[in-house]
Amino acid sequence: MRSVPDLENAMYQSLQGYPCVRLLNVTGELGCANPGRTKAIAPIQRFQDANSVQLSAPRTVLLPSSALVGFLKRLEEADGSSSSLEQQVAGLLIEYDNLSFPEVAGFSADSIFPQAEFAPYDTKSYQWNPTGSGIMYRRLNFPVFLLHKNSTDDVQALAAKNERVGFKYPLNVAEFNAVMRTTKAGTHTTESCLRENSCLPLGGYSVWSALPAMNVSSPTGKPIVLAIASMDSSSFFHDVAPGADSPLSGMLALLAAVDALAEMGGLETLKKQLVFLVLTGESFGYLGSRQFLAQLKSDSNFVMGLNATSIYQVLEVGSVGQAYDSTFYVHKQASAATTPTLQILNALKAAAVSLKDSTSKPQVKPASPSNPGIPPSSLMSFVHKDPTTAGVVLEEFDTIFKNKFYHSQYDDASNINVEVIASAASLVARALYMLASDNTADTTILKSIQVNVSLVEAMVGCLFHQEPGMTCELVKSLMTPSQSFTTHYVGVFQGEPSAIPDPYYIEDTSRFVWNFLADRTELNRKEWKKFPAQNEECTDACKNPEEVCVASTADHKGRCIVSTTRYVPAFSPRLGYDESSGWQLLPLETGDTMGAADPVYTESFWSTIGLQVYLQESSWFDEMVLFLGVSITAFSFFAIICTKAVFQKRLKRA
Amino acid sequence: MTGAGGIGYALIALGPAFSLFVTVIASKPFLILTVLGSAMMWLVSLIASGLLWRAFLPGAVWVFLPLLITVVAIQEAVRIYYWHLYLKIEDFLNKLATKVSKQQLVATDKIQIAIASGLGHGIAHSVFFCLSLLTPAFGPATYYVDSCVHMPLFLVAAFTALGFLLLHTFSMVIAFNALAGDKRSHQLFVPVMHLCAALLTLVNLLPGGCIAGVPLTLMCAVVTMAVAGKIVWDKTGSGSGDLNSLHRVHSASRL
Repeated sequence: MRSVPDLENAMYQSLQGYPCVRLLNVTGELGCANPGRTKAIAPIQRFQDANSVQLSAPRTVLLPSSALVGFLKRLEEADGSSSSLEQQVAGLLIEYDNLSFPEVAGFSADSIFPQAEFAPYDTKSYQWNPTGSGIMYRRLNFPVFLLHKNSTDDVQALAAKNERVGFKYPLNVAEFNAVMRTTKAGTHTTESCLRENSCLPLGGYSVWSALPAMNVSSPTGKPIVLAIASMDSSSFFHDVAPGADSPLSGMLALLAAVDALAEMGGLETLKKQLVFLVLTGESFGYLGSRQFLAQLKSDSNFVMGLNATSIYQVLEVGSVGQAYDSTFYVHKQASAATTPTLQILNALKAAAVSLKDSTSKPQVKPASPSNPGIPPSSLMSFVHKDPTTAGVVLEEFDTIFKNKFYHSQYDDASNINVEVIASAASLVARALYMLASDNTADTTILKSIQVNVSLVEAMVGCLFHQEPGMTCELVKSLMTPSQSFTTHYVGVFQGEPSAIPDPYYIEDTSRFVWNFLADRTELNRKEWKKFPAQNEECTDACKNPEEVCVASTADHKGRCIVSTTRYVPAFSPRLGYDESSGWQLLPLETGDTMGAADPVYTESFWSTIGLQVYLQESSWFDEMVLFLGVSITAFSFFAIICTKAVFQKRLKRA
Repeated sequence: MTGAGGIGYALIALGPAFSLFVTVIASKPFLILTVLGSAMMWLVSLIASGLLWRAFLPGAVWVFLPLLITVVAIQEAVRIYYWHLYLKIEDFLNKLATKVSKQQLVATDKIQIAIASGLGHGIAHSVFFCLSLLTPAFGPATYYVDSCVHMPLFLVAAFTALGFLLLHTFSMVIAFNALAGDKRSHQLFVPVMHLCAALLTLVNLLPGGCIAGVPLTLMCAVVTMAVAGKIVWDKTGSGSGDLNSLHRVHSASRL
């Protein structure tokens, strides 16, 4: 240590961790926050499991991740001893782990039937997600952080030191700063916090693209086959919501399918038009799908070229990363129109047949009729709008989720299989071609549709690994990411939901998907690839309004191409945006069942969120030191005056 | 450790200096100047020591031994230089007093100037060795060094600074007296005591050493105060000369 700043650095240690933040909905709050406007400070104490937690004084509780659900359950119990327990919890730190606890049981922060209130059927108690704990929806009045690996070791050592001295001061304390603006503003519901500008609604930008590119000003009127996937997930700690299996494996399969289909010629001669839609915000009230349908209804510019009546069939690609038995299940709603829906199932079966010589040999089966209906999926929004929608959801599971880590920090790359996703992508690509050809395409053509497995592998590396992360080659060739490791939590809607979103406000994942789809669905792509210099260079906009600027990065300019790839805002249709007053909650329309069920999530503003640890004395020690200092000063004062008097007298006497 | 703690440590280190200043120094502008001038001189000696030893630090523990010896030597040399400067000023002031028909410097004046000089040294020491270190003490955290689990670093620093403040202040009284009267034993007392106190702080480096180191420093200060007290007591005793040379008769002394 060579200087006072060095001393100060040695005294305070900043920890790395992922916070749980405050969300609000129309009825109240959920998530975590500091209880007031000040930092939460308490000595760190570690416990082995949820039941052994006994607190005699306010403490920062350090728990292994396996104890989180049990501990929150204990706090929920309303009896006297537990509620006083909650008061003694100043903050909660969760240790990092490589999933060494009962890996078999699984862990999900979402509920047992995720977003049951939106289901277009009455059996809301069906257990789609048996490992669901529902902790995502709990309201906690203390801050909670998930610690990084390195910080976990440090904090465990500090807790051990505290134990060794028997919790006698000076003690190692944790200082949490997770003060939320909504707490300071006293706004505790979505409506009040939007009015007081202390929060923002959740949302982002979904992407839709047409293959082949359509003439949006004068559409051909071909019936549309809409292929859907989602790109957002969730977890108790929003910064680690990888969602690898649910739902991004579906998105990867769809993107790889688009890549394969883009190599096929003659798509414009087919009877139906293919349109791909990658939605965001689905985990928080099906924001993407509902807003998409609302935009269609109001015939907005975002969806120019599309029209609600022209959507003939819908194929949603759900979680497909864990179909280890190579069987994919086709879920449909009983009310779906029989003929077009059966056509989708047949197209998928034909695709499976064409793949019987491949290594994966995928199979397609209809989901069990004992299911109450479609699993939680974006299709639910379409079914609510029109129960006869000819739509299916392709999933890796039949009656219950295969994904034991749905909406948790553990749904990462180790939870999915690249070959399985590639196999699903082949199924989807060939099935979509079949549908576009009105189920007339022959096997030879189907067999020529080949999915690039290394593309799937590359996407997994980009989206779910720290290295290379979003700075991987695939992403960097198309756009410059704002950070290398992203979470797939949808986040708040930034900026205004106007026609041309500012790229600054669009999440990396959405921007990647837009650029990828635009690049693949470029009109006459194969021809243009031979003569790359012919494209006009651009940074964000093109002179020709029919063209879009793709692959504009920090390193090189983009090129103007003809492609029907557009952003669609994703936010709750219960909200409206106004230049002067900002976001506001709109009155509920009659007959809007999804709107009635919509919690309308918003996230509080916060200035900084931080976590540090240091050694602290008890308050009486500080007071003693002050007393000592004052006494010494007073005593010296006295002593000098007395001495002066004594010498004065001595001198006078002499 | 919060504002209360920080202020407490600052008062431990500088409280007596503040009291001395208010009761003895503040009423006489010349003494205030003396405090400042003396502090300045001490700083110069510190800079010289720093320049000399910068290249060898941070270093092994044994480096502290030659370091402390040389630094104390430099400070004592500066003290002697300061004494000679003082003689010149005293001479000048006395001549000035005669010119304006006022009384020359008496013994109490000289003692007060000695105290002011010592205080200048002491305050400079406290500010540089303790006050600058106390800034983190105003925050919520505290700090203990590995070799001292009994007291926070700040408390050790504050007490040590208090000890040296008293030591420096009263050493100057002894030194002025010794150098004027030419008494060998008293002349040796100051540098020897200074060196002892400095070397005894090395006890703090031993594990748990601060339990002994801090009281030892304070004891050195108490011994120095006692010796200074005895000297002044003797000087103001009944058999020590003409009353008028001891203290000023009129209260309105404009020195």
